[in-house]
Amino acid sequence: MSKRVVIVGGGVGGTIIANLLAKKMRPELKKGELVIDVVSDKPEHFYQPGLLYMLFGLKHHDELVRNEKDLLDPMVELHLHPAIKIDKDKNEVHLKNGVVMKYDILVLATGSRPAPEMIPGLKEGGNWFYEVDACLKLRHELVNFKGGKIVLTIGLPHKCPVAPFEVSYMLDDWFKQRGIRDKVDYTYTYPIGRLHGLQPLADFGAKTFPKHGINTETLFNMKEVDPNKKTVTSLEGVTLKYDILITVPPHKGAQVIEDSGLGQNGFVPTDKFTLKMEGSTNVYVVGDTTNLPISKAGSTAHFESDVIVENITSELREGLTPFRYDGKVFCFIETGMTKATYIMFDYNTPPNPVAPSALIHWFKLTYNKVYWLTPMGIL
Amino acid sequence: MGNFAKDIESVVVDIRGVSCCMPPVGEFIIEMRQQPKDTVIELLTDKREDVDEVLDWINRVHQETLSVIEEAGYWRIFAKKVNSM
Repeated sequence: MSKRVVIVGGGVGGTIIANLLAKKMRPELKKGELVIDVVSDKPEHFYQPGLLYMLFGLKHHDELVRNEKDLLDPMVELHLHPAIKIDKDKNEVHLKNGVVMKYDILVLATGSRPAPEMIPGLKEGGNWFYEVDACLKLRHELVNFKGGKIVLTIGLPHKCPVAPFEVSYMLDDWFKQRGIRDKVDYTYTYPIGRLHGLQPLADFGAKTFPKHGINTETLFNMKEVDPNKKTVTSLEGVTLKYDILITVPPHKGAQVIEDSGLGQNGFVPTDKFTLKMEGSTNVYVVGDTTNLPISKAGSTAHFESDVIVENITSELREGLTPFRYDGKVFCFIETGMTKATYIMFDYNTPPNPVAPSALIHWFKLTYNKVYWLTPMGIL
Repeated sequence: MGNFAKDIESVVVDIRGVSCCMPPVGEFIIEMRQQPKDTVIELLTDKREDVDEVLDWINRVHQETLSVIEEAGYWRIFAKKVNSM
């Protein structure tokens, strides 16, 4: 009887795992001893980091989208129906079309999404670039902006922890290019008592923000936004006025995770080394879906995927799961429109951002073009 | 106070042995915000310097610190969400 691996989620983590597993387990797939299914609620695969570039007119929507089917190995079965319930006791995934999929191994790759509704007034008063429509709306606001106060607020948790730095540096350059930088009063806020969760990055920001004319307000956790008065107030009792409020909203995980009782706010309690759901032996969790205190970023999902694929392969062939994730993450960081740096870190090794350079910026732009090789399991 | 940790039902946030990405106060904020009122949150951290930062934030946003217990090589902070946020 064949084994079945079901992957819920067609983002970067789910797609990489499906493709790498299909390569590794080719003999079993060909003999009909293994079936790999991907469940996704949409036919497109979207390159989310591209939104930062779309905000400045440097990327267009069509450049950031591919058909999920085209990215998947032909031996992987794609089901374009949302999962509405996961029953881990019965090893079942229930789809909206009524199909119930039994699995031997389940991978939860359901991701996260901005949830501005968690902060009163934020959805109405805030602008964000983490979703296509919201990004285009903010782009229009910025292009028509003649000057005034811009405030950046950050909710927790959120994906791509370096994006607030990147958008701040890029806005500085962009307003300079448009000749109105001296008319823009820009304030970066952060929820804890320094400029970033990663201490070396906080130090990097403390050194570079003044050169970019970026004001800062730390220990600022959004409590409410008043879109009429154009103010944002923090839990800590500080109120800031704005003309444009840019926000990185707090994020939530997928509804199906909450509805299935697998994790509060859609984030699944996960063993940080094995990447198995806590208390489970046959459910793996990847990327934003975990509740791990690490970056919710594509590269995190990428590195985690390698470990999960090795363990699933080893489990199916030998009954062993010896591989462990070490917390590795890699992030490019744009430090303006022409330079970038990068960081690499893991559970035990903090990052050490290198001096920004044009070369790293071009590496990032190149990666943006060849990203598709990543979910395909090639890069 | 000796039996405090045994007697109380809490949501545990264990970030011992992790040096990334958010420091303890950040992980504590995430948990405190998503839990319903009256939940007790227990934060486990092996970074002594961060304990005061967490306690300062709890005080600043008018929540309640219940106890801080030093164990062998780590600290347990118990706090109750007494106000909605």
